[in-house]
Amino acid sequence: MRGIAWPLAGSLVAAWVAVPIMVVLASVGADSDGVWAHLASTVLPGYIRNTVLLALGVAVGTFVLGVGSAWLVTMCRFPGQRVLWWALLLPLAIPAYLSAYAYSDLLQFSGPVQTGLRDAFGWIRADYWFPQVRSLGGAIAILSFGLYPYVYLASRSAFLEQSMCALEVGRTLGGGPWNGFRRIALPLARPSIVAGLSLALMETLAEFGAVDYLAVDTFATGIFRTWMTRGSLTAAAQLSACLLGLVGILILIERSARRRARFFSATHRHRALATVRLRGVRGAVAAMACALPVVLGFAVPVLRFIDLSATGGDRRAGELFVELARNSMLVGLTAAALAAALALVVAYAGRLDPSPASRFTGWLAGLGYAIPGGVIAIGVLAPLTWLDHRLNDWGQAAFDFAPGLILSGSVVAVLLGYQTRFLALALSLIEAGLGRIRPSIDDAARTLGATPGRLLRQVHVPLLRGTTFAALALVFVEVIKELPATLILRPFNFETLAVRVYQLASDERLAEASTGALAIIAVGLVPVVILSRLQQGARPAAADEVSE
Amino acid sequence: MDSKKTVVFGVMLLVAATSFAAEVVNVYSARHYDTDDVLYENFTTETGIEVNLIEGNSDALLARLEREGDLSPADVFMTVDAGRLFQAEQRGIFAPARSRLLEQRVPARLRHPDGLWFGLSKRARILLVSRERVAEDKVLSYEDLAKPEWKDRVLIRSSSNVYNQSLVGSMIAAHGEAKAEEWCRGLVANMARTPQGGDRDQIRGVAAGEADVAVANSYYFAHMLNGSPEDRAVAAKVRVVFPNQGDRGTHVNISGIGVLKSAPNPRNAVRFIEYLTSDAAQKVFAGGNYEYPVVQGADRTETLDRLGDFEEDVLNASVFGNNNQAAVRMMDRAGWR
Amino acid sequence: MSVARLSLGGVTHRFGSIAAVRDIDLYVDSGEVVCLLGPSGSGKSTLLRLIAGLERLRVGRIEVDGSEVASPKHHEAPERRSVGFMFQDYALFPHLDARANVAFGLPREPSSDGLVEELIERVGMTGFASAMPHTLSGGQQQRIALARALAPEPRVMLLDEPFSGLEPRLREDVRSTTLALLRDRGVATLMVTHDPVEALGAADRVGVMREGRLVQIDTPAEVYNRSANREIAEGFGPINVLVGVVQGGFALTAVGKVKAGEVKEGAGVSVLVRPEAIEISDVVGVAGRVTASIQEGGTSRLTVILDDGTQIEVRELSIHRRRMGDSVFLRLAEGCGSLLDA
Repeated sequence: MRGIAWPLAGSLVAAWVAVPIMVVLASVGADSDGVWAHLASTVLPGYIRNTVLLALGVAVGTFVLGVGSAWLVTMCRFPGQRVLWWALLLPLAIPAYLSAYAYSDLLQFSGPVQTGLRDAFGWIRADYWFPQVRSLGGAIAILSFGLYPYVYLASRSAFLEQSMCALEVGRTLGGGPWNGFRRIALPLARPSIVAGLSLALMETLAEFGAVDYLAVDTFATGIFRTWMTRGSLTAAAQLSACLLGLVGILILIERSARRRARFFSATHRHRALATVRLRGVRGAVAAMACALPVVLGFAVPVLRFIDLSATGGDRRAGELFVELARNSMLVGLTAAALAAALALVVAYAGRLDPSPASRFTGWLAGLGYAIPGGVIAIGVLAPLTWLDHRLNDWGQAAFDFAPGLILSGSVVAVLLGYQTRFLALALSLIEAGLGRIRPSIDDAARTLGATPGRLLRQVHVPLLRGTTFAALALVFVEVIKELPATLILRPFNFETLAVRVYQLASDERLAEASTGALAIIAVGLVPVVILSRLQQGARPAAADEVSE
Repeated sequence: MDSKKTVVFGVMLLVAATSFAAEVVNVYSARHYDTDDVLYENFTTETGIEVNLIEGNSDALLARLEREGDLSPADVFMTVDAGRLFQAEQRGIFAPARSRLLEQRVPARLRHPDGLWFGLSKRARILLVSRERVAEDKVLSYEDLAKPEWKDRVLIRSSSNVYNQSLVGSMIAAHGEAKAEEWCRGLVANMARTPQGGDRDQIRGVAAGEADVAVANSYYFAHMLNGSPEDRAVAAKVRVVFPNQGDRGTHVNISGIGVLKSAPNPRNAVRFIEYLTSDAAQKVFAGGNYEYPVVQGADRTETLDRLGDFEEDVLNASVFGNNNQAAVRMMDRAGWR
Repeated sequence: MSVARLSLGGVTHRFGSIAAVRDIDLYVDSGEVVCLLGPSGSGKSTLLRLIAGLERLRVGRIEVDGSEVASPKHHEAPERRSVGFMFQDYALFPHLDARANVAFGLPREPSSDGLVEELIERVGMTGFASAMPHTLSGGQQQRIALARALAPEPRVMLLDEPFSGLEPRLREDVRSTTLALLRDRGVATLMVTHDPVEALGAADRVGVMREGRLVQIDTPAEVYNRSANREIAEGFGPINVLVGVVQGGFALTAVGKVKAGEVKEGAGVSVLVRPEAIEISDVVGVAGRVTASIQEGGTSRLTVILDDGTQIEVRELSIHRRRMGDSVFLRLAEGCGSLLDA
């Protein structure tokens, strides 16, 4: 009995979180009343094409930006490097749909940039070519600049952990620095990079707001259009199931990459990384290369919003915003704490019992990250309203009292939605963190008389403190930014900053929405900055601090 | 009763207690205008009934209502498009509301014959043409937009937008499916760019010279007339054209509301709707959000007068509501994004 | 009859279709040190993990002090077996200082404090109680790991190559201190190693493992001089394998005779002889000529060709300074050499 308690808990958590996804999958066999055939003959090929191209584009974009900047800031010293070290995470605080708003507003035909060009040169429409921001290319660029921090974060910590010796051996065997990067550092960091990339890709697949605003039809927008516009929730769920198939494959690739290359730092102590000092032109180039993602992914949208809100901001800021920010932070913190705790249970159960069953559990719990929040919301409503009805039947029979929708009509629904959507994020971090703890540590604790519970409390939890905080911070930021699930699942009179921004933006009042956008960014910035600081402290001890 | 049950019951009571305010009306609304808050506040001041609100996407709210079933706390469902009202009606979530007052104030054309739903405000789907590039006396119809002379000159948003769906629904009603589809294809061929952005973006495009005519809802343009200096500059560069003044009139959509079958507070719900059709409330629709009031003789505002008078297409809202699905598939086939 | 501290009967363990451990019977007495010797993949570590309860036993039976801790039906959790474990990588808890590491296995009460300090002193780490593991050298970490493993006073201690990470000189020192401490406390110690020198030098008995089986277990002298087969023998150092014929209860070889036991008259046999078991002199024995000579510190290893062409490796003290081409006489020392199974 003792032996199965943890795996059982892990499976239960995963199952609970996965119920909404199951609800979606259950629709596969259902009859969509001809909508599916209509989709297949008209728009489906376009959805597939756009989704695949978008995912590929974002994969390349986030890889180049994330890995490149991580390599430069960990291996080189150049002007501004210490600031960029943490500033490169800043775009995390900006929801992709806000970047999309800002860039469309700036770069569209009637926006300030093109208007300025026309005024300056006296051009009219036919006189010049300007890249269309609302396009597949625009979406790839905006999502890449918004999502690269996941890859940056993962590869930076991987580069930091690499023993300098491996790189030096590479140098002595006759490879230059570029060879060392390509043939040693990159393969060693591969599991982390793949993990970061898959987070970015799952976000991309689930992204609705930005992609829709940028006029690109992907699976995510197709699902909503099928549901809302074509009026078929069934066909929408079937589209979601297709998307799930894609995601499932993605997660399998990610997990096998991680399993195949499970290595623990071979030496017990790190040697401080010998960084290369870049001077003059090379230093300036490095600084600009690393500053570019921060400028485009963070500074430009923020400055645009500041400009907009200065001229025509939200007239109801002030007291309303205090309440909205409080709501946002409250659900953000609760959801983040819950996600970290649940992820710990699932990951720990998988460590205690590394069976195919527990691997499946982890896989299941991770699926939701790539599902658009609106779809998850429907998946959450189904089981919760069912439970509510059973509870009310029971209450009626036992006490002649029906309490109403105490689950689906309360904040419980929102929280469950967030877990289904974001558990994967916490799980991926905590699994990676647990993976870095050598198994002999567990064995040592067990043979010293520690029960599995005590092992978790006294060894793993303290060792995972940094990782757990990172998980908390990332989930918190995501929840602050989350919109579609919140919109559908929230209880009465419950508004968050994101909801407020959505309402103004969907009423096409971008200038007024900009105040709320800045508030979201400000709230999200707090954990991001703490997170970056924390990571800075995680640099291995300098050589002189290590005594032999 | 055993102790476990007591605990569960206690928790249920505690959670449930939060929803037991004195007198309430629970509103699910797909409207998302700031001025609505003024309406709710005024209603509470006048009647003492608290308004609990969830705003969201119309279809999402419908899905939620269906899942909640008879336990749903919602009293009324409010939406911004006749097609959506029609769908809600078809799914049988509305209960007939009997109110002599409402029957008297809302014209028969703008409400359900059995009182399942009532229109609250109207919005016209108008054309905005470039003052520079389109002759002042140019007369236009929706049909004209598909003609070759407008090649590369038309801006209109995505077919995901309900206002466009209802517009196409009214085209089907006027011309039949085959002609309507032909019109869709002609329109798509004339678009100056892939449909993108909202109604205001189309107007801005025309003002900036990207195209010569934009299709938009009347109140968006009205907002721009009263907006930031930038918006006013944009509005100054375009001129309103009410299409089809020579024949059936300009397409008009409604925002409407219905009492739900499962409403726990049906009497408050009816009072709420009655309030929304009062002169004071109709004035807020017209003055705050520049929608056309449904109530005959309710005061018009200066801004709406500036748009000018026009003939409405008097087609019953449930007709283009009924055509919604045909319209959507037609637009998919025509490649209207 | 007294019961062994640790005893294993018929223990077999598979990973999938691969049998990592096959039918092992083994006991370790209180205060005894048994070394398991074998190449990597021979199942040594798996056996330790089974004893500690870190792997679940499927076939066989494990007892500590006569009471069952593992069988197919019964699995005592590792934390309740009173079995200590020391790991190759020491596995100190990186977030705890040395003192807290040592105290981990003790009940949290004031009386534990004294014990912790005493153990730290016993392993010679008095000044380092507050040090964090990453600031300690390998040898220091190993000592703290030892103190930690000893703290709960385990009845059995399992050592999984705990000295292999240390530099050679330090290794011997740490090993002898560790094992002395364990013997002193009457702990039954089972140590795994792939280093024959370590096994022979440290253990009371050496068990040789090959492909999951315990192929021989005996005192160091026995396994060295009377290895069960040629492969084991080669594992401990250079050997000569001589042909012989059984006559009168002895196997006769080119350099002397070895007891043949039950082998029947006239049979041809292989006889295993260590180089140092052959005496070299200038007068007595079979004549031969030195063809190669290698210096190995205090001894030199000579290759000698007998007149009948047999080539033999011999070891003697370097002081004799023999050279290539010298004539020598060889003789098998009394009671040395063993018959190999055919």
